[in-house]
Amino acid sequence: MALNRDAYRALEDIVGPENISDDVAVIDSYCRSWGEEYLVGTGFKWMPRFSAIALPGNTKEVQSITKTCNRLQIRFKAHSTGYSPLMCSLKEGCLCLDLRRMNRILEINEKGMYVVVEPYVIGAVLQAELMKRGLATGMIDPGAMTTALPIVPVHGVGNIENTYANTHRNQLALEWVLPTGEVLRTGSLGSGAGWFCSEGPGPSLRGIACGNVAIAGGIGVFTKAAIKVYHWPGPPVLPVEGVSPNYRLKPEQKWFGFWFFSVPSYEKAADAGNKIGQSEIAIVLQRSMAWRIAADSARSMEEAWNNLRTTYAQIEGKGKVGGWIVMIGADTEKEFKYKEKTLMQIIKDVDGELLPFLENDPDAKLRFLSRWTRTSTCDRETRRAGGGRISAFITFDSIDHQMNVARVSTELKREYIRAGRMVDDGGDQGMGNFGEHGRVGHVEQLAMAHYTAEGAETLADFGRRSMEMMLDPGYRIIGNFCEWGPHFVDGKLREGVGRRHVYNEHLWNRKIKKAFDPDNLSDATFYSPE
Amino acid sequence: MELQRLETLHDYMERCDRCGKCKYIPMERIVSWRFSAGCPAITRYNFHTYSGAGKQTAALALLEGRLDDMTDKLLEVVYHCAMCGSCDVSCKYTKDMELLEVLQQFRIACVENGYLLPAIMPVIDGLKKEDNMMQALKADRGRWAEGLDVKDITKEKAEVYFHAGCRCSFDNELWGVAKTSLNLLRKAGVDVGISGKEEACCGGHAYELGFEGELTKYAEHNLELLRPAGVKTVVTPCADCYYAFKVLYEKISKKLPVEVLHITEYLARLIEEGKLKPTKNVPLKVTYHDPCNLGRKGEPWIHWKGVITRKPTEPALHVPPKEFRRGTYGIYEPPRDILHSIPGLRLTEMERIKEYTWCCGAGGGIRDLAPEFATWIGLERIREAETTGAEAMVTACPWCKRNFIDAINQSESRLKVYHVVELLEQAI
Repeated sequence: MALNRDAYRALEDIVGPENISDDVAVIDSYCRSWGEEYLVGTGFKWMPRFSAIALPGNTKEVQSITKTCNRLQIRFKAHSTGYSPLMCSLKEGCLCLDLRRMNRILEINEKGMYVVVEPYVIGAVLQAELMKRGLATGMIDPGAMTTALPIVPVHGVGNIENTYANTHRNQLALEWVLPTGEVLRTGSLGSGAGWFCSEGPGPSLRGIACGNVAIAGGIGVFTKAAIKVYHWPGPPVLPVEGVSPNYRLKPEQKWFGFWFFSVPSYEKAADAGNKIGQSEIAIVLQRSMAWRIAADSARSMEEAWNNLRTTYAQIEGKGKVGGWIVMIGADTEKEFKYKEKTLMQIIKDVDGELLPFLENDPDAKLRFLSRWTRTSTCDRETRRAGGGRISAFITFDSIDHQMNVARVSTELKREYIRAGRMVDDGGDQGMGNFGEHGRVGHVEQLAMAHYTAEGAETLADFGRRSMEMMLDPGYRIIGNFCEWGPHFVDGKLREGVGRRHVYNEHLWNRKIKKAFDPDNLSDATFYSPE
Repeated sequence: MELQRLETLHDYMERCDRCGKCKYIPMERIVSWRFSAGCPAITRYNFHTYSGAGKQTAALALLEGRLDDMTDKLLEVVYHCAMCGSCDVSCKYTKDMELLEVLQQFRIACVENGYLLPAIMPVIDGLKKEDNMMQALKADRGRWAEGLDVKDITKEKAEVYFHAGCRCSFDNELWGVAKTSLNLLRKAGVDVGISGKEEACCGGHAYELGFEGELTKYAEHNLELLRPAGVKTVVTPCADCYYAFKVLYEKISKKLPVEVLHITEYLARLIEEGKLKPTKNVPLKVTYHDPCNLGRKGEPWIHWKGVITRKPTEPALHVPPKEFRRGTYGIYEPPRDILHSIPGLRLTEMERIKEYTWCCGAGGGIRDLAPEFATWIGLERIREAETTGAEAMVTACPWCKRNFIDAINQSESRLKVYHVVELLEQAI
């Protein structure tokens, strides 16, 4: 469904002819991300077409576009790096705003410990600039090649959030073009007091902006954000050596350590996680398992598959379960030794065992350190497999709750594996990042199946069953789960399926959406039904 | 549009999930906002379509019938690409895909289906008539060697064949690169010959434009040229020619039955053997630019014949296992070894080097199709070089050198540009 020529010309006048296109091939290059096969309906591999792609260069252009869309009743949706099916619309004819031209770091305030970014600043770039100044901030798990804008990613979980927080927590003031075209500046910014605070004395609205699903909610376009930053104990430039894909930290580096240990049970895993969190020693506190270690240390899928035999044997093969990836960083040798000693004591307390696969290969640990610090991504274990995948059982809660989620979801997944319907990655891919020194974190169960109709149906079915189990109090896994992903299987929004258990949030969201976007033009087809 | 040649790559094309890595250098190598980009096309034009992933996804849309036909805009996007391989290296850091190969096969498919950009045709017509990519007369090819009194392998045997390449042969500002290379070899006592005006194009540039037949034709020509001459080694100062001889000919199963070396490999070897001794002081601060075709694309071709299995309880696996070319084994150290051997010379590195180098802008046909884009890419690199404080940029390819010189001439930069051989000669 193309834009009519008047609408196209109106938008062209705003962004310039070189920054807008309704060429169908250009549009189709935007209509594919991942998960389409189960999100949009089984076996359907492409997202519905946009009407055009526009590239605004600044807030003024975003505002002008939004007002024009309101005047001409054009549905629109913005994205930054676009690494998510949420960048698309579930209905044809939506105008796509690609925010790629808005990629500047506007301010790094070392004294105030915050940075101001535009939407297309990616995590890796921001982190590189911050590290030079002895600073760092959280980066999300999809990877450092995605947006650093903290509010945009769903839930903002990331490898290093145990110290550097879930990115939503790091959200300070925000500049936000509302669905009607008004520009709202929140927190201290709204009062003309600068970027340092998200909550006031100006209007806050952080909860509404972040919501549970951020950009999926169709709440306008975020154009600038301030992010809280923290102390970085490492060097200004991380000493990475090697040639792709074999990057590693230089062996002589003194600031970081990396371990993975297994535990006898999920209960012991919870115990260990709580202790590590409370001791405040870790930059990374990440629930992990055989497949992740096997895949992340491998240069190819075949190597990963081979590694799994070893890592699985060293964990489940010995009657244990996956425990924790822990990374520590320190300013001094004394601090490092203290943190390391504390960690070893905790591992001993929970009858944990360091994984021989890693302990016997110091080079592997140096590679993990480099990746965990700079790429922050799970793609070797999720996206290299070359097929479909789903994240199900996504929940946010305490460590104890989340270990139960890992256990329950693994048991369900192993049913599918035994039935020969899913990739046998060992069964347990209940991975999760914990933040704020173990106070809260997420777990999701990743499952892989082939990119076929049968595979798509398997993943969709897994998603449906995960929802049912999460709503069944018998399993005790109702956490603060998010209303997307498997909740969209078969292309139908199952709005309210979970939300009625969480204060009917979905009904309040509808009212908020109506107030902010009376004409329903800021596309929310991934969240709210039309 | 007939896209059978993309069918064998369909599995890889489907794996793209728009992670975005193809737009940047590998994450672990990013040290600044300013020099984080890897892909010139998307950095310049911003639409996702211009990225490796974008072009691949558009090709997939054609392959799967979602798009009925090529569009003018898509053809323009396909050819506004330096074919530099940056996207391929960044993608393969974590994925088992063949992004650059998809882009290459897509170009060949465009040509096969008659989607030809007018700006390319004079270049290709010139190649067909005069055996070179410079729209110059074949008869003038050997003029750079006049007065050098060097063996002609069409008339006598030599152990080493020196192939100057089209750029060095016809760009008289760059004749010095060919002459200097040859002189250095002769100084080291190498039994070297050339083919003068009988030298023909390697075919590599045409292949990158999508003209597969030209590559085959010139591979066969060069095989025939070398056969009677007793040559054991082919050496060239051009990264494009090196890539054609070393990688592409093997790829199309027309491997040259001789050792193929880039001039920097050979010279580094001669220095190590003591046959060339850099002793004179060359007090200059330089930075080295890795040519794409020598570095990340220059690693040997690896044939793979097998299947991708899809057992339900296993991920997609290559049987037998496939070794992907990820840029690991390109030629990165020999040029640097040469520079380090020169007394007084100080080498300082740019942020984007080796397998994650920023392209010079000369590749992929851009100089003919979109000269302002080629200049833009070159200027980006010049600016990066200037941040190192270097007085000169050194490279190992005459195409890179030419594009940098042209970019500098359109700017206020005072950076000098050398080929590695030119600095080495000053030290001998």
